[in-house]
Amino acid sequence: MKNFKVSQDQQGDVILFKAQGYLNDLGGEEVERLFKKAVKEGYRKFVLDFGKIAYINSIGVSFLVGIVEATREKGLKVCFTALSTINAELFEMVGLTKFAVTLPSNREAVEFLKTA
Amino acid sequence: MIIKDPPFINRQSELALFRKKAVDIIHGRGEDLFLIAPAGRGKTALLKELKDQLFWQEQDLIPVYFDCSREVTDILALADAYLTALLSQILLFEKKDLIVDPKNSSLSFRELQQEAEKQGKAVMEEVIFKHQRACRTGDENKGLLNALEAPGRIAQALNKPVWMVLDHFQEIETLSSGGKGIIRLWRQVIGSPWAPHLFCGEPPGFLLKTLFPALRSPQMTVMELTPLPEEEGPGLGTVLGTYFNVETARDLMPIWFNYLEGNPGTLTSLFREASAGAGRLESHTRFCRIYLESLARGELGRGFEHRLLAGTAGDPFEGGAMLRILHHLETSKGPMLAMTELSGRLDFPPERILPTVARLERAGLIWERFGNIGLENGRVLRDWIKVQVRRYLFQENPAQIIDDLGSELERVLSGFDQETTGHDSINEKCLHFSLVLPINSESELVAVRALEQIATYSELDENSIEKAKIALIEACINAGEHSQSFEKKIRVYFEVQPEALEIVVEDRGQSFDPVAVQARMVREKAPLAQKRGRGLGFIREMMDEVRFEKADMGTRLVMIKKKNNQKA
Repeated sequence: MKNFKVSQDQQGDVILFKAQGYLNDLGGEEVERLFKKAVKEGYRKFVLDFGKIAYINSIGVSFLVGIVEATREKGLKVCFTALSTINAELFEMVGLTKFAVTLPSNREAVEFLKTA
Repeated sequence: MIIKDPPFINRQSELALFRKKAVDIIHGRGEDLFLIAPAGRGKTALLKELKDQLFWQEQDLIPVYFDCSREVTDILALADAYLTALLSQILLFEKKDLIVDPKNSSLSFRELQQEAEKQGKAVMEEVIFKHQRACRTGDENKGLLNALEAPGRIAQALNKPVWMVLDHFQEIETLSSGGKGIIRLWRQVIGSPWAPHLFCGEPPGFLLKTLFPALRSPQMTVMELTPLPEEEGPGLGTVLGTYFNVETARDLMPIWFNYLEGNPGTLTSLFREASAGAGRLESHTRFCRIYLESLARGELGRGFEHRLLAGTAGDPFEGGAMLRILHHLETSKGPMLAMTELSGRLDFPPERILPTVARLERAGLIWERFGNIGLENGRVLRDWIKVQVRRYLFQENPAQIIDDLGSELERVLSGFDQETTGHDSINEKCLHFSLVLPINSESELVAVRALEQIATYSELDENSIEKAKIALIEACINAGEHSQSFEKKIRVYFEVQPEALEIVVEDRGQSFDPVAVQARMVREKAPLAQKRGRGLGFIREMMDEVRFEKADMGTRLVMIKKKNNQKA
């Protein structure tokens, strides 16, 4: 997984995942693993920052679909931030944007989740 | 008059490669190999030269050449022929210092037995004994297995590896059809470092689709014998001209060689034909006449006829049906046609068309994928079809056909240079790039980074380029995951056109039906059902035109992204 990195940060009760590089099956698994761990620890609000994502493939997208579906089932909140035009289009195509709010920045996302 | 094969020339790099493989075998690292190429590419000449070189120059490796196309009536006869070739060549190898010409040294079974006894080769006597017993009891499987296992057993007993060079391996399929299942027996003997095989055959598409999957071990390497480059034409023409005593126009040879698709075997056949006539190949007119006559009733056409007619005897439906199918494909627009559509258009019942299509495919004339069929690529093949259709389907006079097609062909050849120039002037606005990628995790990133750079030459807007990148990633992943490419490579071609960017992703493996693959992934990979199977949808969504084509040996995905104002 030399072309993908994900770091985790926290602002209040919001968990921020900052992904970087090529989000494929391996990257998707890693994001999913961190997400599940955070859910297990009791966190309910998440931001996924795609500002440094170079490419996403269909399997990577599918992992995100899985995460969004999990948030719906469990009543969690998730925001996507810093999406490029093409990734925003891709997310819309697979229906991700129907269930996750997309915002330009992490600051706006955190603000949004505070009130959510 | 019997004309011997001309001297072996060219193919030095291929010979060097196989000599290296021979060294690997000597050092216990031998592997089974598959060599494929269409007819006329020069496979047999290469294998025979390899065998001769190894026979005379190696002490620690016994090469054995076996031509699977020899006429055999049943499986025991095949075992008999296999053993005779094997034992003769091994025994002769052991006494090669005393031999003047190994090609003239063929031993009968009785002589083999005596020679084996004389040379103290008990293992060979045992092999012969087992064979005779299988023949007496009529046990085909035991007989053939004994023959196929013999190289490994003998090699171990002699402490010297045997390299089995098996030419025209596709012919084995003729015997193995009808439930005989002898491929199963071959599968049992591959993988031995003592007696590796070099399987060689044609047509590539048919072998890869049927025989190769039935035989292959995961480690087996498949190699393709490529055409010779155009610039080697004159040199080859000079040698062949001298050998066959044919007067040639050296300056026209590159054009002819190019027309014959760089196949040395085809050029040799043409020279052989020319030598039997007036012995002159000095003009396009002469070339066209000899070439077309040869397609109609000579050297060049015999190869196709032999393959096409194999097994059709006694079926009055076949000949006419095959010609009508070929004619229809030749004249229809587009690269492929659905079999159901063909069945309707020709008014053939579907149950009759299937075996005919299978036979045509086996002969290397057409390809079939997922119910679609198309003519195989190849100028010589298409010319042969034109000649045969006019001759037999439309009952035209052969002399008239040759005159008509000759004039047409002459115009093509005369304009070959100008045509190339013309093509360039159209294409000068296009830029071409290509990449060969290993099938590795994330190698699609190499393709996409190349695309980023290549796209700077195009007039596509940024968003279109981003979409093309997504499609390319998915295409590379699909090709890598599903094609089972024997060479473990993906080929990517880019064409920057004035109004569009065309990307072609090609693999050389088993063709795959992308729709079926995605459906299967959803069915079979339950835990990942949501994770996979979206790739093709992405590709279709991101690109303006998407089509799958059958490549020479695998699948080709063509994707086009147009400039915004060019979209419909």
